[in-house]
Amino acid sequence: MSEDMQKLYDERLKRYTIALKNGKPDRVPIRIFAAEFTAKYAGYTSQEVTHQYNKAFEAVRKCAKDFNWDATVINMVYVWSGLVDHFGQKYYKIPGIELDPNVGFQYFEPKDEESAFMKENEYDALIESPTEYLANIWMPRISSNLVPIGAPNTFRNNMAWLKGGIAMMDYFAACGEAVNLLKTECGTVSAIAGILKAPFDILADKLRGFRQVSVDIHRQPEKVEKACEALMPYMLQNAMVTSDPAKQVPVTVWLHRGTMFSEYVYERYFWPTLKEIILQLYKNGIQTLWYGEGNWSKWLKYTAELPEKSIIYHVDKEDIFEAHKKIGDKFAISGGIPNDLLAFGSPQEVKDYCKKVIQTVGKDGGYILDASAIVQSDAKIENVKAMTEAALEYGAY
Amino acid sequence: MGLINKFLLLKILIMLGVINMSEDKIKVKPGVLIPWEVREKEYEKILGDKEIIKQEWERIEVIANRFIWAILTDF
Repeated sequence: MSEDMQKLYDERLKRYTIALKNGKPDRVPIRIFAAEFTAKYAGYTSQEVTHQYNKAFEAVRKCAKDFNWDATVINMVYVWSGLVDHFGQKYYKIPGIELDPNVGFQYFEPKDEESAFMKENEYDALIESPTEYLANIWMPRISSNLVPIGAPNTFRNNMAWLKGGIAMMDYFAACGEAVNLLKTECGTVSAIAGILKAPFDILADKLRGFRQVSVDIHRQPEKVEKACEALMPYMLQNAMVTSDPAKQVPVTVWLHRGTMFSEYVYERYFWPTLKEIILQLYKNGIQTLWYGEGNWSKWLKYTAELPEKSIIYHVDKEDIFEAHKKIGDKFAISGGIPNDLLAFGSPQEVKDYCKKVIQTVGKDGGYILDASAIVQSDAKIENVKAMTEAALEYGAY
Repeated sequence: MGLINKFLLLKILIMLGVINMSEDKIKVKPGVLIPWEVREKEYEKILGDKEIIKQEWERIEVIANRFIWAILTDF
């Protein structure tokens, strides 16, 4: 790594980490979460970056270098089909297989009790021993290769466990190298480390699914509550072991379903266990990037209960100016540049909007420039370029 | 049968050995699949440094556990 690149990286790391702590760095950092957009820019299909992770890493590096991103994620096309194909997850449709090579992968959720991966009478088993439940019951249901406990074993079953494990090791090892290349080739910081889901969210998507949980909260509310409590220490452990050992960049909580339920449901099931996990992470010196998909403004009064600087509040669909007024003194804010503007606006409109956000939300520091949601292939290249230009032109303090 | 009576009956059956609470039903900590304490009892004897064996057992446990939870949370 050249001295110049090291210097650039150090400057960016300092800029980013000061902003994460709601401080005022030398300028607003540019931290873009970009998925299929990177493939479009680098000249790859979605199929290529979903199947061939080195192309995905390379596409991100090309964007990071050309758009001068201070921080980004090595690969936001998070479903690597090598793992999915060998282990056999049923819930994804993959570009180049069931989907056109030029569209992003899709998650398909079971729509009824019969097809649900976790059945309504299995809460006790989940609560009793979450990991055993996943390995023995849930995994054989979500994989087209595995056989359930008690069924005659198959070669396919054995190979799926073997290849799934090997594929994951292969991918995670490559991720480590990709983080290093992002640093040494681009001087760009790997923006996040570690993964977290809210216990209720995981129940409401990959375990029971949205429709089934919507029934369970009425038919067996105590079991839903206990399941969230049972999952909590496991989600915390998973977040801790995947977090940044240097504790510089945050764990991200990808929040899906919390805004789709009533306040009663949020207050009883969603919030208590999520709050506890975030508090525990913060006690261990780890910040959480609150990546609320959709409009989370109605739950701001709960989010505001968290300790100062414990989270970075990412804005998707809500009014970023209002969010800043309400919680900008406690937490850094990221995002808020609408994806439809990146897809349908002009570069000047993008620059103007970024300028307004930078000069209002970022006025006293604590703002990290990013799109509202992960940037897909619909974003215009010239508009993503305009975001960087806005940060460079208007973001200096 | 009431809930309390069922609980008492279960406890009595466990005490009498009618229901066996096997080792693999021990509550394990998050991040652990097969606790070292369980594995340790399976060795007929350990002639060398037990701590070395334990460390490697637990190191791979963390990775294997991550596989299961990563399928749920990441993939």
